[in-house]
Amino acid sequence: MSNKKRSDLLPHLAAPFIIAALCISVIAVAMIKPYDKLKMYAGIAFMDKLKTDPEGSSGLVIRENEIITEHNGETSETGEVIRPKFGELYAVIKCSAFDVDVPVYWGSKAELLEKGACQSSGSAVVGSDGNAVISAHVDTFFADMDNLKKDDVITVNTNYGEFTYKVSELISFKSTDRKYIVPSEKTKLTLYTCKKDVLGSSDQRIGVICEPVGSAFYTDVKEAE
Amino acid sequence: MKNAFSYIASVIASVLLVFCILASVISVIGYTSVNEKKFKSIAASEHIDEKVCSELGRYFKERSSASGIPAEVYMNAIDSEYVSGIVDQKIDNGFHCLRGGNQSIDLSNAELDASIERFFNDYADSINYEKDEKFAKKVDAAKKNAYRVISEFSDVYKFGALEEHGVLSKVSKLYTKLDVIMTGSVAASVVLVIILLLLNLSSKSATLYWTGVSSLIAGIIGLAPTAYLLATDYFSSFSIKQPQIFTAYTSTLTMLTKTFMFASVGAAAAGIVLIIVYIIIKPKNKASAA
Repeated sequence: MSNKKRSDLLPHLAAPFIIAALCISVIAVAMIKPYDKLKMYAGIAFMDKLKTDPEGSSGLVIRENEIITEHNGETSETGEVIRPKFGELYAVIKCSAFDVDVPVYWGSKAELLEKGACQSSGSAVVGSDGNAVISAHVDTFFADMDNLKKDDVITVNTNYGEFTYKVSELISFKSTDRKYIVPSEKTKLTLYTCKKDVLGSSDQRIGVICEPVGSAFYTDVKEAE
Repeated sequence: MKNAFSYIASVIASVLLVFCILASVISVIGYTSVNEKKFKSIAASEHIDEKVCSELGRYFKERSSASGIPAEVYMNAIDSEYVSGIVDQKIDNGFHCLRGGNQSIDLSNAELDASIERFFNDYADSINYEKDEKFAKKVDAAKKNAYRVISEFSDVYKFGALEEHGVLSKVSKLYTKLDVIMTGSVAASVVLVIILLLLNLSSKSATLYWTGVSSLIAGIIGLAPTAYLLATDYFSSFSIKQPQIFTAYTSTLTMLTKTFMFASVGAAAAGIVLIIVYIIIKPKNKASAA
């Protein structure tokens, strides 16, 4: 084989391997985010709505309510909240950083965490004074928690009003540290979830503290009731 | 090799061509196979209606101890034909939502209504219960609950859950653009082949080589994961509790994976043919390739 032929052959033999290596590398990097999203969507879709017997042995009664997310009637800056019952779907969180609208159940229990976010029944009802603490699984409803940035706007819809918050602080704390989730006099919304950990469940929690920027209590809905 | 520039440019164009071929294959499969017709045919061929019926029977039987309503009250009025209609409507509605629309689902079953009413009336008569407004509300609640359960169990592709959480609207953005993506990726593939031709003007047959390599690699990239998924029966390891949902999802994923695998084999075979043609043609050209 002449030198000319050999010098031609080598690049041609190498080309498929170079191209394959480049393509596989690009695909591997590009697939990280879609894979996480797919996992989150699958987690949400496959949660079995009827897994929890509403009147079963656990004693948990889950109430699925239709939450008003678009309201064109009269509103007021002040009003009264409706305290939900344990296991009741009472709010929906919307935020541009989240890929899904997050249903919020009152009370914290494993069955409820499979259906949405849970609000600790010891915390303040959204719209009232105090610290409203909401948590959810990191592999489903709060998968996009790390996308939240300071000044991001979060809307919480309930059947008595729409409440708008602005992210004021990004937080990270140990699961044993309760300083962010205890009741407070200051009105705020605290959202948190587990920190993503490839090795399993993490002791670390991440979240955001949001300050209220707007309240719109539905006056006509209340009158109708 | 006449110059390094033409070689590097050809490698880059070939890498882009690999992605364009993959995008073309995926979008063509998505366009032709992800639709209500295919999903309904899978539901029919896998006898998903029978699985739904069986699960409904099991559910109502389990609930009978708490509700006091025997499963037969529901199951005597529910058959595969009725369930099959609901499953098809759920699939139709899911794809309507994916296209940005919505359609109502008709769950009505006069036999079921009559069966529930008969049970409540007989029971009220047996204990001399006054059939007042409260009684009517209880009958109505039992009917509503029955339809809710039937609706939930028949939504075998979980379109309802996906829509409820806003996932369907996100997927819709991609799904409604599938035809654009398909046309775009096929057009981009053609453009890249032309670019390869221009880069290798001194040896036009080299275009066959670069195109062949791209096609072969696209085929291998598609073939390797799909062959793995099918050989290891990966989808069977899914932990989906309800059998009808498990069957619907795994059958659909298997169908899509097989289609993608066959398309990948086709791409790889086309690539090998192009490379062989290039090897045969090449000695006739005195100029060196690339």
